[in-house]
Amino acid sequence: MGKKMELKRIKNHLIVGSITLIFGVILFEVFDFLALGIGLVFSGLVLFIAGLYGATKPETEIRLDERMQKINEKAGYFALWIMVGTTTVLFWVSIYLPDRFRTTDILLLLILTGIDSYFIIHFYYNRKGLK
Amino acid sequence: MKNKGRKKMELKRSKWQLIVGSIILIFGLVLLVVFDLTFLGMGIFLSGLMLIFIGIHWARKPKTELPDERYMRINEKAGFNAFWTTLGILAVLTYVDAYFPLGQNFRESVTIVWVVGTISFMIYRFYYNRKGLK
Repeated sequence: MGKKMELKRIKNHLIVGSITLIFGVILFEVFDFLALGIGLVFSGLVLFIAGLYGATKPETEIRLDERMQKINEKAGYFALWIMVGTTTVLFWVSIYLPDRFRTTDILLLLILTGIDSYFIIHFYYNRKGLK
Repeated sequence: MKNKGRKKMELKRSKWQLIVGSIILIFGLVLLVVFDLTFLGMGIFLSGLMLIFIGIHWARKPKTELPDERYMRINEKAGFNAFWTTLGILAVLTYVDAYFPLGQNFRESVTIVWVVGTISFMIYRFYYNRKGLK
């Protein structure tokens, strides 16, 4: 027996996902912004799929409970300070090796540091608990 | 009678700040004097000194003024939001840089991210402190 989908619950996901997707296709096809267009199409698609996934779940499984919310916030808090700490280290590196990295390298390095540390800390608190 | 009114220090409470602060301070001094890395050495020395001062500041506070559950939640909520704000701005900057090269050097891009992270954290903290957590 298939699960019943509740599309009404994910109305916003579907609307924003579709707009992002269409906007991405326009940028891709009309303005020839290849990377940006593909990025937006991909984001729209992910939002769309996340919405559809959420629609199949029962209401009790969707809502974040207090524990999960605290873990998210704790992980975000520590990930922010790891990211700021990384920028401080990179700042000192930039004084001694000013031409070592390009702007794109720095931005991507910081995005990866932030996201990875967020997921690792999230996983840690999920396993270990909050106390 | 001499000590009347003077706050009692509880150095045990800020043991870690004092230990780590001293290690950082000594490391900064070594870099400064032995390896002749003036800028880096001074920066690390100053960080160690600040950590020691923060430790002493917390040690002087009465128990009732120590951070409570609400204070911690506000910090974490502000950190969480500031984290996603910074990541969002980083993503936008990456795309902008791909199409319209910003022409920043290494140090400028690092400074922008640092400023965005810390300032947004402060703004969110101020907001949640005023508005409350609900």
